Amino acid sequence: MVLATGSAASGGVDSAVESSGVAAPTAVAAAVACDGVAPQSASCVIESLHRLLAKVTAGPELSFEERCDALTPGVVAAFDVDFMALKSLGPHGGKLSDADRRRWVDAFARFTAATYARRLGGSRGRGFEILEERPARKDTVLVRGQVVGSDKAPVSIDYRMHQVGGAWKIVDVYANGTISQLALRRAEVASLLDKMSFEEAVVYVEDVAKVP
Amino acid sequence: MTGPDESERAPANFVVRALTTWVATVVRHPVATLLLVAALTAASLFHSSRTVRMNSDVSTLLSQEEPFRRDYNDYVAAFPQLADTTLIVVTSNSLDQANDAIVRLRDALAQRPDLIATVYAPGSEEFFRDHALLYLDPQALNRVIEGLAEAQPALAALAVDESLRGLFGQLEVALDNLEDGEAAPGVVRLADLVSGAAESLLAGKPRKIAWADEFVRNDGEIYRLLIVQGQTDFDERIPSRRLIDGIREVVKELGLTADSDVRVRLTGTVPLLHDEQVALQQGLTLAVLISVVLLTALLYFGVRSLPIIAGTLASILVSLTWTTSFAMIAVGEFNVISAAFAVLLIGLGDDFALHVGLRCEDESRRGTPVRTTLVRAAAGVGGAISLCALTSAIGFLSYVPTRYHALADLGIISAGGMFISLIVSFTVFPAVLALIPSWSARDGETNVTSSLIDQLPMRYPGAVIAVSAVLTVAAIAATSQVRFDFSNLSMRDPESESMTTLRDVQAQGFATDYAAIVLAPDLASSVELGARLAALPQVASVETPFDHVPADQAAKLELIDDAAFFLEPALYPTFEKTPPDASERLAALTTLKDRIAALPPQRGDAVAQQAIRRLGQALEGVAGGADPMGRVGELESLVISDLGTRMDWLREALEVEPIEFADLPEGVRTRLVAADGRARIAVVPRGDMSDVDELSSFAAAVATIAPHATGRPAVEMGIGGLVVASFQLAIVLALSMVSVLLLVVLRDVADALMLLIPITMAALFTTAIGVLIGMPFNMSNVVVIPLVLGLGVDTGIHLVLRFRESGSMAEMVASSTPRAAVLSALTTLAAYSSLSVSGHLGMRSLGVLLSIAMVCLMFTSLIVLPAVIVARQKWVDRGKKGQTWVAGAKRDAA
Repeated sequence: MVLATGSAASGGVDSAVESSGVAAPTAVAAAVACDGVAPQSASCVIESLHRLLAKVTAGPELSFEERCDALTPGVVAAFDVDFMALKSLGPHGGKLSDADRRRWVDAFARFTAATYARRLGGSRGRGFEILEERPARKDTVLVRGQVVGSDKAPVSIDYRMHQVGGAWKIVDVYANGTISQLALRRAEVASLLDKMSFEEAVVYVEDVAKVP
Repeated sequence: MTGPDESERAPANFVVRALTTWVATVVRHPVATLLLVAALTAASLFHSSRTVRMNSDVSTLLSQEEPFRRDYNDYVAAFPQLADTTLIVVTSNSLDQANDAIVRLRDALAQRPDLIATVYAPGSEEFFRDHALLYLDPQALNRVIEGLAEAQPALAALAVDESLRGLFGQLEVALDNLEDGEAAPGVVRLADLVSGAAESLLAGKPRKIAWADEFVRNDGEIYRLLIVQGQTDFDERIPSRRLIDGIREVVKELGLTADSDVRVRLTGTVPLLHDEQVALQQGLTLAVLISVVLLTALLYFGVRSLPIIAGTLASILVSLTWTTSFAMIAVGEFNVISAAFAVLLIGLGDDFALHVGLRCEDESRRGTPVRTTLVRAAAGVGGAISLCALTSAIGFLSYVPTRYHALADLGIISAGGMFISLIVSFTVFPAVLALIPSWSARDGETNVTSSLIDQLPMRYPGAVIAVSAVLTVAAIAATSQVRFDFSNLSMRDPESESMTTLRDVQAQGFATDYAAIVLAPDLASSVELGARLAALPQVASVETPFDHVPADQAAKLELIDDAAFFLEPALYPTFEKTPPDASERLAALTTLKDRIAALPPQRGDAVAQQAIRRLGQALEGVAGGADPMGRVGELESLVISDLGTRMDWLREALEVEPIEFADLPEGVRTRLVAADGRARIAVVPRGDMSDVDELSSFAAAVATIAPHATGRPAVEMGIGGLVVASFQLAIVLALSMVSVLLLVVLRDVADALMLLIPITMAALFTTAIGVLIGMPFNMSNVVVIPLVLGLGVDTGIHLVLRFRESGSMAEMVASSTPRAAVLSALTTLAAYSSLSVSGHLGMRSLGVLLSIAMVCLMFTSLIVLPAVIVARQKWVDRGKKGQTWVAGAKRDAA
């Protein structure tokens, strides 16, 4: 069984990454100045993420591994990887030793970066625009956006974010506006842990993260 | 040993004279007598029909003053909602249907205050529905959360677009993944659901998707309980029949019959008692019929004299009627045990008539007219019969001084019945016979009985005595293994609905019939008390009121939070599309099915592939037939069905906060903590409670910590102790009083002792056989041994008195007495064995044990006793010879 790195979950990401690497970064619909100085607003964090994605695409041909390495710090900066990694484990998360937890979070981070890296080939001509930022339940905000391009219909992508230590981080991504990445990961990990031990699962995820 | 003139020493001369005078009077005015009897009987019937009552409350069979009863009553007073309950058990494979049925039942029953006092549906309270997730065990909860995670894309899509268009859109996305060779979790389940709905539509039996079952999967059947207490002011023969019939009526009206998906069964205290009553009454009615038939058959083959048969049957019927009236006057009601008197009376009541009748036959052979023979017969057997009546009554009355009221009632009723039979036998029977002009006695009839008595005891008395002695020793050894089974449940028909449902519900863990109940002074102390009880080795588990609050709430709430988090788009959609019209719906279906058809066969998840193809075919069917737009509309209503309601529930269920005892609904709290603050603790035993040793060990252990513990273990221990004590007392009473009576009447120690032999032997043999066949003594059949001691002496009395009268064994053997004895023993046996057909296990064991006792009595009275008489006679004769010789020697010496 394979982890769904497919279009549904990262479809939005995929399309987002298809944003034109050549053209200038898309303008932010809301008039917010993102000057790159911390602390950034939630929308600006998203803005930065997509700028990074565009940059990695625009640059010279990089190998898969190089793209992973370039993306990982940005992913870790934008996503609350600790939160998402542990939530995907469910009740098993509470039983881990600190070392194991660290390992899982790292594997998760690399996996996420790898997902982006994999899609960066041939993703040109589509831009990402932020539609709005609005407060959501449980002290989170929803940054709603869409991927637009010439040939296809716009695809909604929403980012749900919360604050960690003053900085806004992504905790869930809603492809098509509805499909929760967190739910997806949770279902997948559950399925994995049905078949193998935690040790094996960590190794599995790490391996998948290396597959271009 | 005794000559003809010794008959003056026959017991109670004045009694014989009174009887003879009475019979003479009756015989002179037979018609008037019969008319008088008929009038009395009619009056008695009228009286009985107005007053007869059956009290089936087993708890009243014993004194309410017993400590264990007081503790139990105290408990019931503190928790009145737990007494006299009917448990309505609803089972179904569908969560929806089960919940729906319970709600409808509850509402329907609440509208019958004439029938129902309280209704309580523990699982159906809003509270438990909202907090359902907290009450799952952690693993089950995790599975639910994982299931929700799988379903999230579909649920979110449906939240935005609650239509087939929304769902199919999501499925297309899943197909994208499939084409990339990857799986989408949950797609199989979703596809199968839609396929199932579509296929059911095409097959003409449309089935909605039950979303409740999808959210919280249940393995196996769902159980829902409704606890009902009925109004108690009914006055009727079978208790609570109105309540139970009323409930069944309501169930039928709601359409919850055998062929629906929901099964409704009844159990609990009230139905258990009710079923027991029904079994009892059916068994008794059948037993009475069978015994009358057997009786008539036996009489026909044994006596073959129509007048005697007619007279006997008439006597029995009159005795039964009069005794019923007597019972209502003396005791006021029948209970589970005393209701058996009818069969006992049929078995015993004919004895008198038989002895009189066959004695008549004897006399009539000498050619005397009927009326004279009747008087002579009365003179001849009157003494013996009166003595028998006395000893039988003593046997029955030996239970009265004990604390076992139910048997005391049986004793009083049956003792009264004995005397009534006596009177009737000397009234109705002679009157009937006196109506016939002449008598035709049978001649040349081979006397089977006399040949039996002739052969064995007469010829080989020594051998017979030796064999019996050995058997007696063996029997004494066997009786050390005797067991008592005090359980009420073991007396009931195990196949009745209330019993099978009880076993089922216990197996599911909803109820433990055998838990001990301990009342802690208050809620706070129940924890510590519960812990101390749980530490006992005989205790498997303990349930305090706090156990009704879910455990591990912190961990569970975290899981629930996770689900709430990722289900956000599904629970609180940020926008909603307008519902599609028919053509848009059809278009969505067509797009999906074409997409599926165009799917290239490929690697990847084979199960998912198959599910998708199945869906494609089903959708082709829907789109292909006549009126596709209408069909698609129907499909949508099947698929969407009650999703909205379920999502409402999910929203509530995922918003829960931690709960503590005070948050529980009132119905639950008041059943755990009494009005005076005492908290109920249930203590579940580890061992097998049908084993008396384990039962007493458990009850004793609990009592060391909680001396006033109640519940079935304590009650059964109490009952058991009481029954054993009563049993022992009754045996001692019966034996001593019979002995005294025999001494007083027979005025010969040796004779009296001789008559004790057959009954004590029979009692020992019966107990030993009971041990051998594995039949324990229970609440019903414990009456057998004292009965044997009191009733069993009859045959012996007849034999010994006839022997005294005639002076020789040979003559006694040729007389009517042995034949009458055998015949009456056989009819008694027939009557007792008819009890064995009862579905009520207690009654059945009574029938079996009584039959065994009868056979043993026949053996000891008709074979062992004559042998003893013969042996003693020889010994006495040898002694007399010796005396004469000594006297002669002295004379010579002088």
